[in-house]
Amino acid sequence: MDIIRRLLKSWKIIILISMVSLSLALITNVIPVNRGRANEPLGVGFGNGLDYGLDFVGGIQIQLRLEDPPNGTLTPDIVEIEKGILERRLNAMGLRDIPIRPWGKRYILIQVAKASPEEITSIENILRQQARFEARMDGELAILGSEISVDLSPQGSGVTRTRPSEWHVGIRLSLSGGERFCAVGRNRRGKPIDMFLDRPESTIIAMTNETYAILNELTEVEDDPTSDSYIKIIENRSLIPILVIENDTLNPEKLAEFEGYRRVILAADEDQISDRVRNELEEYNLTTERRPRNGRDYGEWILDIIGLRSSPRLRCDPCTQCKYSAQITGSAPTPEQAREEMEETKILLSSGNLPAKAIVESKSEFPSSLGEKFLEYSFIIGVIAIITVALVIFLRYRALFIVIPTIITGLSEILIILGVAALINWELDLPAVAGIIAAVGTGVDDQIVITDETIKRGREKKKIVSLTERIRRAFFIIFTAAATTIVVMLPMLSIQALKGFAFMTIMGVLIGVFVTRPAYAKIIEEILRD
Amino acid sequence: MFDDMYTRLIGIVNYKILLALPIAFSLLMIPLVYTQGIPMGIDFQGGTWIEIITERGTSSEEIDELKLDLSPLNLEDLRVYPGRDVITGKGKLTIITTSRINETEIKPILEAHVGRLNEIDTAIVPLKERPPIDLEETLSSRFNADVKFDENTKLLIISAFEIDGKKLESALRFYLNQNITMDLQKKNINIKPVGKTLGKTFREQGIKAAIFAYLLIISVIFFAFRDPIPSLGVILAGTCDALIALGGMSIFGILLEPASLAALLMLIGYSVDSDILLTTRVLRRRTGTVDDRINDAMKTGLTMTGTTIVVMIVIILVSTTVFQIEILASIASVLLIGLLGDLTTTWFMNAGILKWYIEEKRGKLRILQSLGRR
Repeated sequence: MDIIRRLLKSWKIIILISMVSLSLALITNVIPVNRGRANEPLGVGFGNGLDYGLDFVGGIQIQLRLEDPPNGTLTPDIVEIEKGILERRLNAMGLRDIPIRPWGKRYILIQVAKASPEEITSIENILRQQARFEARMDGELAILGSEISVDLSPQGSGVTRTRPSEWHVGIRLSLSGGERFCAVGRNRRGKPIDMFLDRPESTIIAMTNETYAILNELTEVEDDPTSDSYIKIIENRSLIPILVIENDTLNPEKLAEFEGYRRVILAADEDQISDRVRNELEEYNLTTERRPRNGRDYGEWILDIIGLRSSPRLRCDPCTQCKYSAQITGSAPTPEQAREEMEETKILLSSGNLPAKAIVESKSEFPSSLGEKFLEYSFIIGVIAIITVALVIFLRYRALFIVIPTIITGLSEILIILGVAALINWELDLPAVAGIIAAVGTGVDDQIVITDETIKRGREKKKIVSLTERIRRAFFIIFTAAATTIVVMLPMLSIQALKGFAFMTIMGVLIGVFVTRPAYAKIIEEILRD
Repeated sequence: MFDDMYTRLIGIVNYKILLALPIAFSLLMIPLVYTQGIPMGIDFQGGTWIEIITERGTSSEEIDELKLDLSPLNLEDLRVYPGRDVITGKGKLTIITTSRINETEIKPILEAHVGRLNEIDTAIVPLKERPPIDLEETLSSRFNADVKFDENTKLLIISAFEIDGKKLESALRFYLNQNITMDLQKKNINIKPVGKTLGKTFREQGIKAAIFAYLLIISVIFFAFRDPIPSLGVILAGTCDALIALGGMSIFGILLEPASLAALLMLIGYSVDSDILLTTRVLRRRTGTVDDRINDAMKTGLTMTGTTIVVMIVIILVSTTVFQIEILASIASVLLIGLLGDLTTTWFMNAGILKWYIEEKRGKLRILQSLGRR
């Protein structure tokens, strides 16, 4: 009892206890670090505060390699643009929140958790196919993506530091592109140039008459009733015909008008247009795809379906001023927003003429049941390892008062590492778990050093070696060992596959050196004092 | 336990011979690794990895037949070996090659041997009538599945990367409120291709990082001890450990892959720990003879390394017999080999170096002192 009272007065122990309790609150999501998905919120529960990597959750991982562009080499700017293009194309497909991480000089890692086979197929298709960029005026094709090249040099684009800030992106048109742009744009000064990314081809959009009526009322510019309605944008500016479905029944006569079309996008949920209609459509040899609104803004939803990304107005003479090279300009309230708009435009304009070709280098699947088993088994093996450590230490020292603090410190170390991981939302994957084990392993080594140094003090009392000297020596060993472990791991942070391992080891070692080891030394010291 | 170990040891063998043993042993590993090579995992080499779940185990004759049938595909460095699946407990067949495989080409050959191969889980449920409209959406969001109902055959087809049969069945019973029969075809093949250039990039990154880490360790050790010979001793011990572990990987055919690279790094961390302990105790302590200090350090050091070794043995035993987690087994094996090597490099070699250094240095000091007195 006396020992405990003395220990509780020590700031080393107080720090340990408070960090462990804070970590427990974080890991169990008592301090809500994880909200979960909107439809299945995460409540309180052990492990709910942690983020799990693909190998525990299950999913698909794809590695893309970018080739050098035809003239020149790959630069970080080009990689950034490729990343942006992929993000926008996947988002437009309704596949949001898919992390796209460039690494090394020419690789992009894409991880998709919890997806259906069809979703994976569409992702792979997007990765495989070149994006289709087209600029149309009143539905007429003005420029194709392959005819544009964006000036990616530092002078090619920029923003002013003023408020509001102006941005510009320089582009160049090919001979054929310039000619067509001139022919189409000649008498259309001031009209919108509609820029499409992956505009659906030979596709019909099916919707209910209610949706049709709403879209007919809604205009592109909300307060301007003279601007085009969304129906006009779909039918005239995007050249996508609309099939109106009344009372959830398909009218074969109406459908007969659409000859030569291969695909139907159902702009409706199942209550509006049922699967029965969908199946009937399939009977006519049309492939179908459902894109319900899901509570989103009507305009945003329709623009996503038709792939219309931006509609700046034509402000120059396409037959003289901006026939072969042009500057696209815009403005935003702040330089930051201007930069964002500029990047967005660069990405859009490059998308049809990818600066670098992308190749799928590797694809691997992590089954989630395997992940769950791994997590469970790692936990069991961890427990077995702790019991083994306890046994060995008991055999060596023959004293429970050393075994118990060792185990307690080891466990608190694991908890604090997990707590920090929960706090910074670090994704736990298998390498990260290995890193935690490595850190705790060095921790046990250090505790043995501290124990031996402290015990000897008892035996060598007559000799003039002070306790502080002994502890200092023990901590010299511990700090040097920690420093070597950390420097070994530092370069590994740059390797995608070992990042989690290296980071967890470094963090674990730091927590060990500054929190748990001093606390352990204090406990052993107090115990031995009696 | 472990009292006066070093004194007893050098009582049997002269410490200078003891000192040379680990160095000679590690040097032997260089030609071995050079000629035998270390088997590379496909992450570091590029190629294709295929895992097939089979209803029963596969005999070695069957594997030879399969290899023969695969020979027209000209697969480089083809390895086929059987195993047991962690989840189902069924048989498992792993096929590894450094070539990139055309899936449509290899599938018929494999199917001739192991039967139908499915790349996804598919559940087929015959129903009397079309299910309620929202069922499709409920199932697809809950199971990440594609759900279709075929009007003609009246079959509900649910496909996903992974379907938990029991959960799906109970969900269907609940939503449809009727008894159903379900035919679940489980996914039984997993193909992972890795491009050659990607493998090369991984490998180069790994080597670069390892060299960088090595240089950093050297600087930390020199900074900590500020004494060239003991520092060199620590670094030499770490280097020999890594060499021994690499040699062990070559002999036992442990794949070099991200996991085992991580193990090698862990090993350097652990092995340097015991050397730092030894060097600190010998150099910084002022009481007792050098042998006493080494004996003392050895007692602590053997406890440290011994604990880790025992844990590794336990992990290898558990992960090969009960759980079948190859990654853990290979990490633990690399560490075990390296730590066994570390026992010799630290206590035979590094202790000897320190003994020799202190006694020689002290000898020189004595000479200098006596010269000074004159």
